[in-house]
Amino acid sequence: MSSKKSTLLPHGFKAEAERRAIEFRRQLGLNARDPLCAFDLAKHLEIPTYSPIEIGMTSSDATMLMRSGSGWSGLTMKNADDDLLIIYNSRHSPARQQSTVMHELAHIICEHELPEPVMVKGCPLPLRVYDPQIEAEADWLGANLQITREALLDQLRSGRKTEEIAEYFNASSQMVTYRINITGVKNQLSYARKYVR
Amino acid sequence: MPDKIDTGKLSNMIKSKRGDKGLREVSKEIGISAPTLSRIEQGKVPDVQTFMRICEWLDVHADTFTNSQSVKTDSNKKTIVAHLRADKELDGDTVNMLIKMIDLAYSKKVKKK
Repeated sequence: MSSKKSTLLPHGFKAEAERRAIEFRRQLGLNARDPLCAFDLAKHLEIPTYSPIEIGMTSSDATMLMRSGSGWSGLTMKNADDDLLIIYNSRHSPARQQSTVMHELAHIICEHELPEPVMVKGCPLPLRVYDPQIEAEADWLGANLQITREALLDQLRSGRKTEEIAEYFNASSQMVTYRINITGVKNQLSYARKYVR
Repeated sequence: MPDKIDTGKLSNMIKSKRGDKGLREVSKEIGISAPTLSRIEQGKVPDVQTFMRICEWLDVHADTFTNSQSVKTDSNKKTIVAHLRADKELDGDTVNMLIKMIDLAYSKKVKKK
């Protein structure tokens, strides 16, 4: 996750992301500072989520796909009936699964067009297309959905450490550090300490 | 089930043309990064832009790396597209499993409320 990517975000995107993260919590009867489970949000948005086994893969194929170091986390696609669905790597840690599913939901919430596969003549396999713009948006929103800025400020003001915050939000320490860095909340806190006595 | 790109053939052709030249020098000629070139030579599936640039550098058509029988695809089957999240370029085995999984998911009936 790179903070440089946030320069790709359109004006107002970050404020809107925070607003959405709080609004979804409200819809689910949660407070702005509460953790939000990605699977609960998916259910709320009526997007089914599946592990590879639940999709119908054999145990050995699923093991091959999700073996350590395979690199695959998740995907969003439409089935034959045009219904959206998310498939996630169920062998990843719970914190990583949360981040993956939030990222996929972010693509859906942002209404990102599913990329046209680039078909090379004679090749039946669509080659990977990476759009930095939409990935930057999904990265930001996905992380914001997991931990609101408001929650982060509150946690830090209460003197909680990164690991404690990570456990509370069922997030990885890296995710918490990333959110702290990109939101600039520590700067905000240090201004407050300087000028507000 | 679709055939895969012949990543072995791609990798061999690159290595053959590269010869004794260093990765860094050749990657500059192609227009990709050295680590990416290294991964492709190890058989990883390239992204579109990388694949195009390599084909241009090799002066061959992309067809060269696919099984000619795979051209007979099922024209009725809608092309499946997906947002794919991965933290690195995926190897052949992973890509094959993803294709299997996507095929299954395509036929999956979603339970509605």
